[in-house]
Amino acid sequence: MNETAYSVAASVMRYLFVVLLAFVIFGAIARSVLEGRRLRAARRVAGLSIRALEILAPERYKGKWFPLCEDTYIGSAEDCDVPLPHTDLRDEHARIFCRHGDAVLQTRQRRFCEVNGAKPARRTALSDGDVVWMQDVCFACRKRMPGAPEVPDEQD
Amino acid sequence: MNRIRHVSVASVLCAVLVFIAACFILLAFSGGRFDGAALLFGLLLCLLIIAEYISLLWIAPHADRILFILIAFLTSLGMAVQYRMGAESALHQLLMALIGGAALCVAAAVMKRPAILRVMSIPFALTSLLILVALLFVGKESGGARNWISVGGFLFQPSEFVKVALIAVLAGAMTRGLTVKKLIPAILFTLGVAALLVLQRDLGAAMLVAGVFLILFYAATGKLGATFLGLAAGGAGAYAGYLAFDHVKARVGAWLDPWATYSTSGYQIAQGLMAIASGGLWGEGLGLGSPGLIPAYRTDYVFAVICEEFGIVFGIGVIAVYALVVVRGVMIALASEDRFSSLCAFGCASLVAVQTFIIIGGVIKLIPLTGITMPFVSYGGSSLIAFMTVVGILQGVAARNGAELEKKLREAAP
Repeated sequence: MNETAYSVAASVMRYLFVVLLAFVIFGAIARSVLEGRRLRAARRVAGLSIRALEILAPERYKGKWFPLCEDTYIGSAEDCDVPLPHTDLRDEHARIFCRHGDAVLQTRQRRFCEVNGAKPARRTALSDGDVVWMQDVCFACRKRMPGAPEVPDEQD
Repeated sequence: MNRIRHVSVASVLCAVLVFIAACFILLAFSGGRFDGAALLFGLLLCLLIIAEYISLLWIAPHADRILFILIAFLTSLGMAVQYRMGAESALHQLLMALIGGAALCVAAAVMKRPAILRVMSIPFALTSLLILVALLFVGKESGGARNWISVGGFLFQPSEFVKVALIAVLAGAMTRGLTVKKLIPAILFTLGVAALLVLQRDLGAAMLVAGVFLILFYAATGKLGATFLGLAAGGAGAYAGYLAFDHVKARVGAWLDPWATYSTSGYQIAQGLMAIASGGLWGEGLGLGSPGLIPAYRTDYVFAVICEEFGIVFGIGVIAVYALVVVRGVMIALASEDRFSSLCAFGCASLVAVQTFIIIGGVIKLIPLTGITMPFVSYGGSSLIAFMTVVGILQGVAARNGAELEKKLREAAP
Protein backbone atom coordinates (compact mmCIF):
# COMPACT_ATOMS: atom_id res chain seq x y z
CA MET A 1 0.00 0.00 0.00
CA ASN A 2 1.55 3.35 -0.97
CA GLU A 3 1.58 6.26 1.46
CA THR A 4 -1.36 8.10 -0.11
CA ALA A 5 -3.54 5.00 0.08
CA TYR A 6 -2.44 4.47 3.68
CA SER A 7 -3.35 8.08 4.55
CA VAL A 8 -6.82 7.59 3.08
CA ALA A 9 -7.28 4.28 4.93
CA ALA A 10 -6.03 5.77 8.25
CA SER A 11 -8.33 8.79 7.82
CA VAL A 12 -11.36 6.58 7.24
CA MET A 13 -10.43 4.26 10.12
CA ARG A 14 -10.45 7.21 12.56
CA TYR A 15 -14.24 7.18 12.43
CA LEU A 16 -14.37 3.40 12.87
CA PHE A 17 -12.24 3.72 16.01
CA VAL A 18 -14.59 6.33 17.45
CA VAL A 19 -17.61 4.16 16.63
CA LEU A 20 -16.00 1.12 18.28
CA LEU A 21 -15.07 3.14 21.36
CA ALA A 22 -18.62 4.51 21.57
CA PHE A 23 -19.94 0.93 21.31
CA VAL A 24 -17.64 -0.21 24.13
CA ILE A 25 -18.66 2.75 26.35
CA PHE A 26 -22.40 2.56 25.76
CA GLY A 27 -22.36 -1.24 25.77
CA ALA A 28 -20.57 -1.20 29.14
CA ILE A 29 -23.01 1.39 30.54
CA ALA A 30 -26.08 -0.56 29.35
CA ARG A 31 -24.73 -3.82 30.75
CA SER A 32 -23.73 -2.12 34.01
CA VAL A 33 -27.29 -0.87 34.46
CA LEU A 34 -28.75 -4.30 33.62
CA GLU A 35 -26.33 -6.15 35.88
CA GLY A 36 -27.00 -3.65 38.67
CA ARG A 37 -30.75 -4.33 38.37
CA ARG A 38 -30.23 -8.09 38.43
CA LEU A 39 -27.94 -7.94 41.44
CA ARG A 40 -30.33 -5.66 43.32
CA ALA A 41 -33.18 -8.05 42.51
CA ALA A 42 -31.10 -11.00 43.73
CA ARG A 43 -30.25 -9.11 46.94
CA ARG A 44 -33.93 -8.32 47.50
CA VAL A 45 -34.86 -11.98 47.06
CA ALA A 46 -32.00 -13.12 49.33
CA GLY A 47 -33.27 -10.78 52.05
CA LEU A 48 -36.91 -11.96 51.92
CA SER A 49 -38.56 -13.41 55.01
CA ILE A 50 -40.25 -16.11 52.90
CA ARG A 51 -38.63 -17.84 49.95
CA ALA A 52 -41.05 -20.61 48.90
CA LEU A 53 -44.71 -21.54 48.53
CA GLU A 54 -46.09 -24.97 49.45
CA ILE A 55 -49.35 -25.84 47.71
CA LEU A 56 -51.91 -27.33 50.11
CA ALA A 57 -54.97 -27.49 47.81
CA PRO A 58 -56.38 -28.55 45.37
CA GLU A 59 -55.48 -32.21 45.69
CA ARG A 60 -53.81 -32.48 42.25
CA TYR A 61 -51.15 -29.91 43.23
CA LYS A 62 -50.86 -30.75 46.92
CA GLY A 63 -47.24 -31.10 48.09
CA LYS A 64 -45.78 -29.09 45.22
CA TRP A 65 -43.22 -26.40 46.11
CA PHE A 66 -42.32 -23.26 44.19
CA PRO A 67 -39.40 -20.89 44.96
CA LEU A 68 -40.15 -17.17 45.02
CA CYS A 69 -38.41 -14.83 42.63
CA GLU A 70 -38.37 -11.03 42.71
CA ASP A 71 -41.78 -10.85 41.05
CA THR A 72 -43.67 -14.15 41.30
CA TYR A 73 -46.88 -14.51 39.28
CA ILE A 74 -49.47 -17.06 40.39
CA GLY A 75 -52.20 -18.14 37.99
CA SER A 76 -53.62 -20.76 35.68
CA ALA A 77 -51.44 -19.73 32.72
CA GLU A 78 -48.58 -22.09 31.89
CA ASP A 79 -46.04 -19.26 31.77
CA CYS A 80 -46.69 -18.11 35.36
CA ASP A 81 -43.94 -18.59 37.94
CA VAL A 82 -46.44 -20.66 39.92
CA PRO A 83 -48.54 -22.30 37.15
CA LEU A 84 -51.71 -23.96 38.42
CA PRO A 85 -53.74 -24.88 35.30
CA HIS A 86 -57.26 -26.33 35.60
CA THR A 87 -58.01 -24.35 38.75
CA ASP A 88 -60.45 -21.47 39.21
CA LEU A 89 -57.62 -18.93 39.14
CA ARG A 90 -57.32 -16.38 36.35
CA ASP A 91 -54.35 -16.51 33.96
CA GLU A 92 -52.32 -14.14 36.14
CA HIS A 93 -54.39 -14.15 39.27
CA ALA A 94 -51.97 -12.75 41.85
CA ARG A 95 -48.41 -11.69 42.28
CA ILE A 96 -45.97 -11.73 45.14
CA PHE A 97 -43.30 -9.06 44.92
CA CYS A 98 -40.48 -7.75 47.11
CA ARG A 99 -40.89 -4.46 48.94
CA HIS A 100 -38.61 -3.25 51.74
CA GLY A 101 -37.53 -6.81 52.52
CA ASP A 102 -41.12 -8.15 52.65
CA ALA A 103 -42.88 -10.48 50.25
CA VAL A 104 -46.11 -8.64 49.42
CA LEU A 105 -49.22 -10.34 48.00
CA GLN A 106 -51.33 -8.45 45.49
CA THR A 107 -54.37 -10.20 44.08
CA ARG A 108 -56.87 -9.23 41.41
CA GLN A 109 -59.89 -10.71 43.17
CA ARG A 110 -59.87 -9.94 46.86
CA ARG A 111 -63.45 -11.19 47.21
CA PHE A 112 -62.34 -14.81 47.02
CA CYS A 113 -59.04 -14.40 48.83
CA GLU A 114 -58.14 -15.05 52.47
CA VAL A 115 -54.86 -14.76 54.33
CA ASN A 116 -54.95 -16.73 57.60
CA GLY A 117 -58.74 -16.75 57.42
CA ALA A 118 -59.14 -12.96 57.03
CA LYS A 119 -59.78 -10.79 54.01
CA PRO A 120 -56.47 -9.25 52.98
CA ALA A 121 -55.70 -5.59 52.27
CA ARG A 122 -54.96 -4.56 48.69
CA ARG A 123 -51.32 -5.32 49.39
CA THR A 124 -50.54 -7.72 52.21
CA ALA A 125 -47.08 -8.54 53.55
CA LEU A 126 -46.68 -12.29 53.97
CA SER A 127 -44.62 -14.07 56.56
CA ASP A 128 -43.46 -17.61 57.29
CA GLY A 129 -46.38 -19.95 57.98
CA ASP A 130 -49.11 -17.72 56.53
CA VAL A 131 -51.83 -19.71 54.74
CA VAL A 132 -53.42 -18.11 51.70
CA TRP A 133 -56.66 -19.18 50.01
CA MET A 134 -57.42 -17.94 46.51
CA GLN A 135 -60.53 -19.48 44.88
CA ASP A 136 -59.94 -23.24 45.15
CA VAL A 137 -56.18 -22.89 45.65
CA CYS A 138 -54.51 -22.87 49.03
CA PHE A 139 -50.80 -22.39 49.70
CA ALA A 140 -48.55 -21.86 52.70
CA CYS A 141 -45.65 -19.44 52.83
CA ARG A 142 -42.36 -21.05 53.80
CA LYS A 143 -38.97 -19.70 54.82
CA ARG A 144 -37.08 -22.22 52.69
CA MET A 145 -37.59 -25.02 50.22
CA PRO A 146 -37.50 -28.63 51.47
CA GLY A 147 -33.91 -29.88 51.54
CA ALA A 148 -32.46 -26.44 52.27
CA PRO A 149 -30.14 -26.41 55.29
CA GLU A 150 -31.52 -25.02 58.54
CA VAL A 151 -29.84 -21.67 59.10
CA PRO A 152 -30.46 -20.07 62.50
CA ASP A 153 -31.94 -16.56 62.40
CA GLU A 154 -29.55 -13.74 63.28
CA GLN A 155 -31.79 -12.66 66.17
CA ASP A 156 -31.73 -16.20 67.66
CA MET B 1 -34.26 -17.59 41.95
CA ASN B 2 -31.28 -19.43 43.40
CA ARG B 3 -28.40 -18.20 41.26
CA ILE B 4 -27.10 -14.95 39.81
CA ARG B 5 -27.46 -14.49 36.08
CA HIS B 6 -24.62 -12.30 34.83
CA VAL B 7 -25.19 -10.18 31.75
CA SER B 8 -23.63 -11.29 28.49
CA VAL B 9 -20.72 -9.11 27.46
CA ALA B 10 -19.76 -11.08 24.34
CA SER B 11 -20.69 -8.26 21.94
CA VAL B 12 -18.59 -5.69 23.84
CA LEU B 13 -15.67 -8.12 23.98
CA CYS B 14 -16.06 -8.63 20.21
CA ALA B 15 -15.94 -4.83 19.73
CA VAL B 16 -12.60 -4.75 21.60
CA LEU B 17 -11.27 -7.59 19.43
CA VAL B 18 -12.45 -5.78 16.27
CA PHE B 19 -10.69 -2.63 17.53
CA ILE B 20 -7.45 -4.59 17.94
CA ALA B 21 -7.85 -6.17 14.48
CA ALA B 22 -8.55 -2.78 12.86
CA CYS B 23 -5.53 -1.14 14.53
CA PHE B 24 -3.06 -3.87 13.63
CA ILE B 25 -4.34 -4.40 10.07
CA LEU B 26 -3.83 -0.67 9.54
CA LEU B 27 -0.40 -0.72 11.19
CA ALA B 28 0.62 -3.68 8.99
CA PHE B 29 0.50 -1.33 6.00
CA SER B 30 2.09 1.74 7.61
CA GLY B 31 5.44 3.05 6.36
CA GLY B 32 4.75 2.06 2.74
CA ARG B 33 5.50 -1.64 3.23
CA PHE B 34 3.67 -4.72 4.47
CA ASP B 35 4.55 -5.71 8.05
CA GLY B 36 3.32 -9.23 8.79
CA ALA B 37 4.63 -8.98 12.35
CA ALA B 38 1.90 -6.42 13.11
CA LEU B 39 -0.81 -8.94 12.20
CA LEU B 40 0.89 -11.60 14.30
CA PHE B 41 1.16 -9.14 17.19
CA GLY B 42 -2.55 -8.28 16.94
CA LEU B 43 -3.44 -11.98 16.88
CA LEU B 44 -1.29 -12.67 19.94
CA LEU B 45 -2.93 -9.76 21.77
CA CYS B 46 -6.42 -11.09 20.96
CA LEU B 47 -5.44 -14.57 22.15
CA LEU B 48 -3.95 -13.13 25.34
CA ILE B 49 -7.15 -11.24 26.14
CA ILE B 50 -9.34 -14.28 25.48
CA ALA B 51 -7.03 -16.52 27.56
CA GLU B 52 -7.02 -14.04 30.44
CA TYR B 53 -10.82 -13.74 30.28
CA ILE B 54 -11.30 -17.51 30.40
CA SER B 55 -8.70 -17.93 33.18
CA LEU B 56 -10.30 -15.19 35.26
CA LEU B 57 -13.79 -16.66 34.97
CA TRP B 58 -12.39 -20.10 35.82
CA ILE B 59 -10.70 -18.76 38.97
CA ALA B 60 -13.47 -16.34 39.91
CA PRO B 61 -16.81 -17.22 38.26
CA HIS B 62 -18.50 -14.08 39.62
CA ALA B 63 -15.71 -11.73 38.48
CA ASP B 64 -16.78 -8.40 36.99
CA ARG B 65 -16.86 -9.09 33.25
CA ILE B 66 -17.56 -5.47 32.29
CA LEU B 67 -14.55 -4.24 34.26
CA PHE B 68 -12.33 -6.83 32.56
CA ILE B 69 -13.44 -5.70 29.10
CA LEU B 70 -12.83 -2.03 29.88
CA ILE B 71 -9.31 -2.89 31.08
CA ALA B 72 -8.76 -5.06 27.99
CA PHE B 73 -9.72 -2.09 25.82
CA LEU B 74 -7.29 0.27 27.57
CA THR B 75 -4.47 -2.29 27.42
CA SER B 76 -5.14 -2.93 23.71
CA LEU B 77 -5.11 0.79 22.99
CA GLY B 78 -1.78 1.05 24.80
CA MET B 79 -0.38 -1.86 22.77
CA ALA B 80 -1.51 -0.36 19.46
CA VAL B 81 0.04 3.02 20.32
CA GLN B 82 3.26 1.35 21.54
CA TYR B 83 3.48 -0.78 18.38
CA ARG B 84 2.98 2.29 16.23
CA MET B 85 6.00 3.85 17.98
CA GLY B 86 8.22 0.77 17.86
CA ALA B 87 7.61 -2.98 17.57
CA GLU B 88 10.34 -3.87 20.07
CA SER B 89 8.85 -1.84 22.94
CA ALA B 90 5.39 -3.18 22.10
CA LEU B 91 6.67 -6.76 22.31
CA HIS B 92 8.14 -5.99 25.73
CA GLN B 93 4.79 -4.52 26.77
CA LEU B 94 2.97 -7.63 25.51
CA LEU B 95 5.24 -9.80 27.64
CA MET B 96 4.49 -7.56 30.62
CA ALA B 97 0.76 -7.86 29.87
CA LEU B 98 1.16 -11.65 30.02
CA ILE B 99 2.84 -11.39 33.44
CA GLY B 100 0.23 -8.79 34.44
CA GLY B 101 -2.54 -11.21 33.45
CA ALA B 102 -1.02 -13.85 35.71
CA ALA B 103 -0.75 -11.25 38.51
CA LEU B 104 -4.43 -10.36 37.96
CA CYS B 105 -5.50 -14.00 38.33
CA VAL B 106 -3.31 -14.54 41.42
CA ALA B 107 -4.65 -11.34 43.06
CA ALA B 108 -8.25 -12.37 42.26
CA ALA B 109 -7.64 -15.80 43.80
CA VAL B 110 -6.03 -14.26 46.91
CA MET B 111 -8.87 -11.76 47.38
CA LYS B 112 -11.40 -14.57 47.54
CA ARG B 113 -9.88 -15.06 51.02
CA PRO B 114 -9.15 -11.45 52.04
CA ALA B 115 -7.72 -12.55 55.42
CA ILE B 116 -4.52 -13.56 53.56
CA LEU B 117 -3.97 -10.02 52.27
CA ARG B 118 -4.95 -8.57 55.63
CA VAL B 119 -2.33 -10.64 57.42
CA MET B 120 0.24 -9.72 54.78
CA SER B 121 -0.39 -5.98 55.14
CA ILE B 122 2.20 -5.52 57.93
CA PRO B 123 5.02 -7.34 56.07
CA PHE B 124 4.02 -5.32 52.97
CA ALA B 125 4.34 -2.08 54.94
CA LEU B 126 7.82 -2.95 56.24
CA THR B 127 9.03 -4.19 52.84
CA SER B 128 7.71 -1.06 51.09
CA LEU B 129 9.55 1.24 53.49
CA LEU B 130 12.74 -0.83 53.23
CA ILE B 131 12.67 -0.76 49.43
CA LEU B 132 12.02 2.97 49.30
CA VAL B 133 14.90 3.64 51.73
CA ALA B 134 17.19 1.34 49.71
CA LEU B 135 16.28 3.26 46.53
CA LEU B 136 17.81 6.41 48.03
CA PHE B 137 21.18 4.64 47.99
CA VAL B 138 21.07 2.11 45.14
CA GLY B 139 18.30 3.54 42.95
CA LYS B 140 18.98 4.50 39.35
CA GLU B 141 17.91 7.90 38.09
CA SER B 142 15.60 8.17 35.10
CA GLY B 143 13.47 11.13 34.00
CA GLY B 144 14.67 13.17 36.99
CA ALA B 145 13.46 10.64 39.59
CA ARG B 146 15.71 8.23 41.45
CA ASN B 147 13.13 5.44 41.63
CA TRP B 148 14.44 2.63 39.43
CA ILE B 149 16.18 -0.50 40.55
CA SER B 150 18.00 -3.13 38.51
CA VAL B 151 17.55 -6.80 39.39
CA GLY B 152 19.23 -9.38 37.16
CA GLY B 153 19.51 -6.93 34.29
CA PHE B 154 15.81 -5.98 34.49
CA LEU B 155 14.90 -2.43 35.46
CA PHE B 156 11.76 -1.97 37.49
CA GLN B 157 10.08 0.73 39.49
CA PRO B 158 9.30 -0.42 43.06
CA SER B 159 7.12 2.64 43.78
CA GLU B 160 4.47 1.12 41.47
CA PHE B 161 4.19 -1.91 43.76
CA VAL B 162 4.35 0.26 46.87
CA LYS B 163 1.06 1.83 45.71
CA VAL B 164 -0.61 -1.60 45.76
CA ALA B 165 0.91 -2.39 49.17
CA LEU B 166 -0.31 0.99 50.43
CA ILE B 167 -3.91 0.05 49.68
CA ALA B 168 -3.62 -3.21 51.64
CA VAL B 169 -1.87 -1.46 54.55
CA LEU B 170 -4.38 1.40 54.77
CA ALA B 171 -7.40 -0.89 54.37
CA GLY B 172 -5.98 -3.19 57.08
CA ALA B 173 -5.34 -0.30 59.47
CA MET B 174 -8.76 1.28 58.85
CA THR B 175 -10.47 -2.07 59.42
CA ARG B 176 -8.84 -2.51 62.83
CA GLY B 177 -10.36 0.71 64.12
CA LEU B 178 -10.98 4.37 63.39
CA THR B 179 -9.78 5.98 66.60
CA VAL B 180 -6.86 8.40 66.28
CA LYS B 181 -4.65 5.97 68.23
CA LYS B 182 -5.39 3.13 65.83
CA LEU B 183 -4.96 5.31 62.74
CA ILE B 184 -1.56 6.72 63.77
CA PRO B 185 0.45 3.81 62.24
CA ALA B 186 -1.41 4.25 58.91
CA ILE B 187 -0.86 8.04 58.95
CA LEU B 188 2.83 7.60 59.81
CA PHE B 189 3.25 4.97 57.09
CA THR B 190 1.62 7.25 54.48
CA LEU B 191 3.75 10.22 55.57
CA GLY B 192 6.89 8.05 55.49
CA VAL B 193 6.14 6.72 51.99
CA ALA B 194 5.26 10.21 50.68
CA ALA B 195 8.43 11.71 52.21
CA LEU B 196 10.65 8.98 50.73
CA LEU B 197 9.03 9.47 47.31
CA VAL B 198 9.62 13.23 47.52
CA LEU B 199 13.28 12.57 48.39
CA GLN B 200 13.50 10.41 45.26
CA ARG B 201 11.96 13.33 43.35
CA ASP B 202 8.99 11.10 42.41
CA LEU B 203 6.51 13.88 43.08
CA GLY B 204 3.65 12.36 41.10
CA ALA B 205 3.74 9.18 43.19
CA ALA B 206 3.91 11.21 46.43
CA MET B 207 0.86 13.22 45.35
CA LEU B 208 -0.92 9.98 44.46
CA VAL B 209 -0.17 8.37 47.83
CA ALA B 210 -1.53 11.44 49.66
CA GLY B 211 -4.63 11.53 47.45
CA VAL B 212 -5.43 7.84 47.93
CA PHE B 213 -4.94 8.13 51.70
CA LEU B 214 -7.36 11.06 51.94
CA ILE B 215 -10.02 9.36 49.81
CA LEU B 216 -9.75 6.12 51.80
CA PHE B 217 -9.79 8.06 55.07
CA TYR B 218 -13.00 9.82 54.05
CA ALA B 219 -14.56 6.55 52.84
CA ALA B 220 -13.74 4.80 56.11
CA THR B 221 -14.61 7.56 58.59
CA GLY B 222 -17.00 9.87 56.76
CA LYS B 223 -15.30 12.81 58.52
CA LEU B 224 -15.34 15.62 55.97
CA GLY B 225 -13.73 18.19 58.28
CA ALA B 226 -10.73 15.98 59.08
CA THR B 227 -10.38 15.12 55.38
CA PHE B 228 -10.28 18.81 54.44
CA LEU B 229 -7.73 19.33 57.22
CA GLY B 230 -5.60 16.60 55.63
CA LEU B 231 -6.10 18.20 52.23
CA ALA B 232 -4.95 21.55 53.62
CA ALA B 233 -1.91 19.86 55.20
CA GLY B 234 -1.14 18.24 51.82
CA GLY B 235 -1.45 21.63 50.12
CA ALA B 236 0.88 23.17 52.68
CA GLY B 237 3.35 20.32 52.09
CA ALA B 238 3.17 20.88 48.33
CA TYR B 239 3.81 24.60 48.83
CA ALA B 240 6.78 23.82 51.09
CA GLY B 241 8.08 21.52 48.33
CA TYR B 242 7.65 24.35 45.83
CA LEU B 243 9.73 26.66 48.02
CA ALA B 244 12.36 24.03 48.87
CA PHE B 245 13.05 22.36 45.50
CA ASP B 246 14.16 24.14 42.35
CA HIS B 247 12.82 21.43 40.02
CA VAL B 248 9.34 21.86 41.52
CA LYS B 249 9.57 25.63 40.90
CA ALA B 250 10.64 24.95 37.31
CA ARG B 251 7.67 22.58 36.75
CA VAL B 252 5.16 25.02 38.19
CA GLY B 253 6.70 27.82 36.10
CA ALA B 254 6.43 25.65 32.97
CA TRP B 255 2.82 24.85 33.82
CA LEU B 256 1.86 28.50 34.33
CA ASP B 257 3.42 29.63 31.05
CA PRO B 258 4.98 26.88 28.93
CA TRP B 259 5.51 29.27 26.00
CA ALA B 260 7.78 31.55 28.05
CA THR B 261 10.08 28.60 28.81
CA TYR B 262 9.50 26.80 25.48
CA SER B 263 13.20 26.17 24.86
CA THR B 264 13.76 24.64 28.33
CA SER B 265 11.30 23.29 30.90
CA GLY B 266 8.16 24.29 28.99
CA TYR B 267 9.08 22.36 25.85
CA GLN B 268 7.34 19.12 26.85
CA ILE B 269 4.05 20.75 27.86
CA ALA B 270 4.04 22.99 24.77
CA GLN B 271 4.75 20.06 22.44
CA GLY B 272 2.03 18.01 24.10
CA LEU B 273 -0.52 20.79 23.71
CA MET B 274 0.47 21.30 20.08
CA ALA B 275 0.11 17.57 19.42
CA ILE B 276 -3.40 17.55 20.93
CA ALA B 277 -4.35 20.65 18.92
CA SER B 278 -2.93 19.28 15.66
CA GLY B 279 -5.02 16.12 16.05
CA GLY B 280 -8.25 18.15 16.12
CA LEU B 281 -11.58 16.50 16.82
CA TRP B 282 -11.04 13.33 14.80
CA GLY B 283 -7.23 12.95 14.84
CA GLU B 284 -4.67 12.70 12.07
CA GLY B 285 -5.03 8.96 11.71
CA LEU B 286 -3.13 6.07 13.29
CA GLY B 287 0.49 6.24 12.15
CA LEU B 288 0.17 9.73 10.65
CA GLY B 289 1.10 11.88 13.65
CA SER B 290 4.53 12.95 14.87
CA PRO B 291 4.77 11.56 18.40
CA GLY B 292 8.57 11.61 18.31
CA LEU B 293 8.47 15.38 18.76
CA ILE B 294 7.06 15.05 22.30
CA PRO B 295 9.48 14.09 25.07
CA ALA B 296 8.37 10.95 27.02
CA TYR B 297 5.80 10.13 24.32
CA ARG B 298 5.74 6.44 25.26
CA THR B 299 5.11 7.00 28.98
CA ASP B 300 3.86 10.26 30.50
CA TYR B 301 2.66 11.82 27.23
CA VAL B 302 0.93 8.85 25.67
CA PHE B 303 -2.42 10.64 26.08
CA ALA B 304 -1.17 13.47 23.83
CA VAL B 305 -0.17 10.85 21.22
CA ILE B 306 -3.65 9.27 21.44
CA CYS B 307 -5.31 12.68 20.98
CA GLU B 308 -3.03 13.53 18.06
CA GLU B 309 -3.64 10.30 16.13
CA PHE B 310 -7.15 9.28 17.26
CA GLY B 311 -8.58 12.76 17.95
CA ILE B 312 -9.95 14.67 20.92
CA VAL B 313 -13.35 12.94 20.64
CA PHE B 314 -11.60 9.60 21.06
CA GLY B 315 -9.50 11.07 23.91
CA ILE B 316 -12.67 12.11 25.75
CA GLY B 317 -13.97 8.57 25.16
CA VAL B 318 -10.82 7.16 26.77
CA ILE B 319 -11.43 9.37 29.83
CA ALA B 320 -15.01 8.01 29.89
CA VAL B 321 -13.62 4.46 29.91
CA TYR B 322 -11.46 5.34 32.93
CA ALA B 323 -14.53 6.87 34.60
CA LEU B 324 -16.44 3.62 34.01
CA VAL B 325 -13.56 1.59 35.47
CA VAL B 326 -13.69 3.76 38.60
CA VAL B 327 -17.50 3.53 38.82
CA ARG B 328 -17.34 -0.30 38.53
CA GLY B 329 -14.68 -0.32 41.25
CA VAL B 330 -16.79 1.81 43.58
CA MET B 331 -19.83 -0.40 42.90
CA ILE B 332 -17.79 -3.49 43.83
CA ALA B 333 -16.65 -1.75 47.01
CA LEU B 334 -20.20 -0.76 47.97
CA ALA B 335 -21.53 -4.28 47.37
CA SER B 336 -18.97 -5.88 49.67
CA GLU B 337 -20.10 -6.81 53.18
CA ASP B 338 -16.53 -7.36 54.39
CA ARG B 339 -15.04 -4.05 55.54
CA PHE B 340 -11.45 -4.89 54.60
CA SER B 341 -12.44 -6.04 51.08
CA SER B 342 -14.64 -3.00 50.65
CA LEU B 343 -11.84 -0.60 51.62
CA CYS B 344 -9.37 -2.48 49.39
CA ALA B 345 -11.73 -2.17 46.42
CA PHE B 346 -12.36 1.50 47.17
CA GLY B 347 -8.62 2.09 47.45
CA CYS B 348 -8.03 0.38 44.08
CA ALA B 349 -10.73 2.48 42.40
CA SER B 350 -9.35 5.68 43.92
CA LEU B 351 -5.80 4.74 42.87
CA VAL B 352 -6.90 4.44 39.23
CA ALA B 353 -8.95 7.65 39.48
CA VAL B 354 -6.24 9.78 41.11
CA GLN B 355 -3.42 8.52 38.88
CA THR B 356 -5.48 9.07 35.73
CA PHE B 357 -6.46 12.55 36.90
CA ILE B 358 -2.86 13.49 37.73
CA ILE B 359 -1.41 12.38 34.40
CA ILE B 360 -4.20 13.48 32.05
CA GLY B 361 -4.60 16.70 34.03
CA GLY B 362 -0.86 17.30 33.64
CA VAL B 363 -0.88 16.58 29.90
CA ILE B 364 -3.79 18.92 29.18
CA LYS B 365 -2.28 21.61 31.47
CA LEU B 366 -5.03 21.45 34.06
CA ILE B 367 -2.52 20.84 36.88
CA PRO B 368 1.32 20.94 36.99
CA LEU B 369 2.80 17.92 35.23
CA THR B 370 4.33 15.16 37.34
CA GLY B 371 5.91 12.10 35.83
CA ILE B 372 3.62 9.15 36.36
CA THR B 373 2.18 6.64 33.94
CA MET B 374 -1.27 6.54 32.38
CA PRO B 375 -2.74 3.33 33.86
CA PHE B 376 -2.81 0.32 31.46
CA VAL B 377 -1.80 2.45 28.45
CA SER B 378 1.67 3.90 29.09
CA TYR B 379 4.81 1.96 28.33
CA GLY B 380 6.23 0.37 31.47
CA GLY B 381 6.17 -3.16 32.82
CA SER B 382 6.10 -2.24 36.52
CA SER B 383 3.10 0.04 36.06
CA LEU B 384 1.18 -2.45 33.93
CA ILE B 385 1.79 -5.37 36.31
CA ALA B 386 0.94 -3.23 39.36
CA PHE B 387 -2.32 -2.01 37.82
CA MET B 388 -3.25 -5.52 36.67
CA THR B 389 -2.79 -6.57 40.32
CA VAL B 390 -5.09 -3.72 41.35
CA VAL B 391 -7.72 -5.00 38.89
CA GLY B 392 -7.16 -8.52 40.25
CA ILE B 393 -7.98 -7.25 43.76
CA LEU B 394 -11.18 -5.66 42.42
CA GLN B 395 -12.09 -8.86 40.57
CA GLY B 396 -11.46 -10.95 43.69
CA VAL B 397 -13.74 -8.73 45.77
CA ALA B 398 -16.42 -8.86 43.03
CA ALA B 399 -16.15 -12.65 42.90
CA ARG B 400 -16.52 -12.91 46.67
CA ASN B 401 -19.55 -10.59 46.63
CA GLY B 402 -21.21 -12.74 43.96
CA ALA B 403 -20.39 -16.02 45.73
CA GLU B 404 -21.80 -14.74 49.04
CA LEU B 405 -25.01 -13.53 47.41
CA GLU B 406 -25.45 -16.81 45.57
CA LYS B 407 -24.86 -18.72 48.81
CA LYS B 408 -27.68 -16.73 50.45
CA LEU B 409 -29.98 -17.45 47.52
CA ARG B 410 -29.21 -21.17 47.63
CA GLU B 411 -29.60 -21.42 51.40
CA ALA B 412 -33.36 -21.09 51.04
CA ALA B 413 -33.96 -22.54 47.60
CA PRO B 414 -31.28 -25.10 46.68
